Amino acid sequence: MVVDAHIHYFDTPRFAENLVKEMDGAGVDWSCLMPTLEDSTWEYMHLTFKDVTNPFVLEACRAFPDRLAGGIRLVPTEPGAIAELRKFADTGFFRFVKLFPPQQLPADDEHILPFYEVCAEYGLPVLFHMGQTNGEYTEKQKRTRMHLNSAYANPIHLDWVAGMFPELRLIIAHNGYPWYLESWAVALAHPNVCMDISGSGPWTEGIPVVYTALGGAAFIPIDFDRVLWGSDNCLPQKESIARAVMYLRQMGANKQQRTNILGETARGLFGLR
Amino acid sequence: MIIDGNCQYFGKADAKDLLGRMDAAGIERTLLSASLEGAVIPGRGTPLSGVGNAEVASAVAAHPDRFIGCFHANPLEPGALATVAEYAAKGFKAVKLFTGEGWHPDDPRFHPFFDAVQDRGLAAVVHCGVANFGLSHEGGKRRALNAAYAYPMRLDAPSRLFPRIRFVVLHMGFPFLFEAWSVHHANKNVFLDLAGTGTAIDALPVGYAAVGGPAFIPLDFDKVVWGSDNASDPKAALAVADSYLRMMGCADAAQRGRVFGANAARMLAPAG
Repeated sequence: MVVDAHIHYFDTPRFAENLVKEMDGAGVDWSCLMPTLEDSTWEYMHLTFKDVTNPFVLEACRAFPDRLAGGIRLVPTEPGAIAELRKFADTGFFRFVKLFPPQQLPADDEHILPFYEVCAEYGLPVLFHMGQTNGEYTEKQKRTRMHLNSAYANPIHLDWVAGMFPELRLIIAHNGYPWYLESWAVALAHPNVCMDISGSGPWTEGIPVVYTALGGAAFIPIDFDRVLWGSDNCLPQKESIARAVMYLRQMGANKQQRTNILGETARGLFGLR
Repeated sequence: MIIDGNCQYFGKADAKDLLGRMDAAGIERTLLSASLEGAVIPGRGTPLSGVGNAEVASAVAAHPDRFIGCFHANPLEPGALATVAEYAAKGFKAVKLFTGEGWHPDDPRFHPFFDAVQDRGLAAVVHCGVANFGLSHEGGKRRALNAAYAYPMRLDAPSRLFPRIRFVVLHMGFPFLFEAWSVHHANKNVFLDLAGTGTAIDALPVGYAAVGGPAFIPLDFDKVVWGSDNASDPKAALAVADSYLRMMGCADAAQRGRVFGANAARMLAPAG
C-alpha cells in the first residue's frame, strides 16, 4: 500500500477529484488530507487560502471514503477546541490531528495537555508542523499584526510531550528542518515519535545531506519503521515518491524499509485498509 | 588515580557490586549521584526508588574513602537552598541538576541558588540534552523531563556570573553538541563529561570528526571528565572512552589519563 501521509486541502476547483486522479496515476492508495491555514498564502505557489478548514476536509473524505483519510487541524488552546475535536473525530472520517506550532504555540505548552488527553482517548496520532514554515498570513491578518513564528516549532518541545503521553503517537513533519538533530534525538529517545519526509527543497533534500555528513547511523540511528512519506502538495506525488526513495537510499534505508515508509507504516499508524 | 566522575546510585543492593566493579577496573574513587525518584532506566525492570540524597549520604558515610557525594537539587523547590546547605555540610562535593525538570539556569531567579553553590565550593553537574530515561507514571500521574530546558548554551551566563563553580555538561549535551563544545571552549570553568555508553555517546566522536574536530571547535581535554554512569561494566567503559578520546584527537596518552582521574579531582576541588 502507498500512502501520502502529508497533504493539505486547497480551495482550488475540484480539488478532491483532481487529487484522487493524481493518486491513481501515481499508484497512491490513500492520501492523508488535512486543512491548510486559513487566510494564509504560500507565496512560492502563488496561492491564497480561505475555505480550507475541517468541514471542507470532511466533505472531501466523505466523497472519497476509501481514498482520503482526514486530519483535524485546530488551535488546541482556543475555547471549544476539545468539543470541536470530539465532533470531527466522531464522524469517523478523521484519522489524525494536525497542530501548527508556528501559530506561537509550542507543543509543550501546558494548556494543551487536556487536548492531548482527548487525542490519546481517541487513539488519534498528532502530526506537528515542526521547523521552518514558509506559509504566511494574508495582508488582512497582518494588519492586525498576526504573524507566524517558526521559533515555536522546535521539535525538542516534543521531548516532554512524548514522555508525558507514551501512548500517544507523535509525528514530526519535515524531520523538523532545520532542527534535524533535535528531531532525530527525540525520535531516538521516544518510541512513540515518528518523523515524516515531506515537502521539497531544503525541507527534504537537507535530510540525507546532513544525515550522511554527520556520520549517519553511527551518529544517530534512525528507526526507518517510524518514518513516513508525504508530498505536502509541493511536488506531483509520482515525482515526490521518486525523490523520497532516492533520499532514503542515501540514508541507508533498505528496500523493505522504503516500502514501509511509502505506505505500510502509515497504514498501521492511521488504521487504513 | 582513576576517578569515576559520574556514577548513578542504584541503591544499597547495588553498592557492594559497585565496589567490586570499581576494584576490578582499578577505580579508586567514584562520584556517586542521587537518582531522580521514579526514573525508568532502560534495561532495568522497575523504576528507581529510594536512591535519593539520603541514601547516597549513607553510602558515602559507609565508604568515605571510595565514594564522593553528589546530591540532587531542584531550584524550583522551596527547600533547594536548605538542601545545598545540608549536603555541603555533609561533605558532598557536587550538586546534580536536571534543568529538564522545567527551569533555565540563566534565569536570574536562580542566582541565589548558584550563589549558595558557589559559596560552598561545590561543582554543578548538569544534565543537558535529551535524557535516555523516562519517569514513572505510577499512580496515573504523568511526569517527564523536558529537553527544551536542557540546551547547554543556557550555562553560558551562569558560568560567567559564578566563575568559581565548576560546571559539568553531562554527555556533552547530546544532541546539542555544538552548544556544549562552544560553552566549554569559551568558559574556563565549564567541563565536558564523557560518561556512559551506547548510541548517544558513540555519536560524540563521530559528530566531532564529521564537522572538522578541533578545526571547528578545539576541546580542552584537561576539562573533560570520564564517568561510567553506572551504565555498563566500568572496565569496558574505560576502554571504549579511551577510543572515543583518540578518535576525537586526544593523542597524548598522559592527557587521556587525566580524563580518567586528575580532571575529575580538579573539578571536584575548588581552587585555592
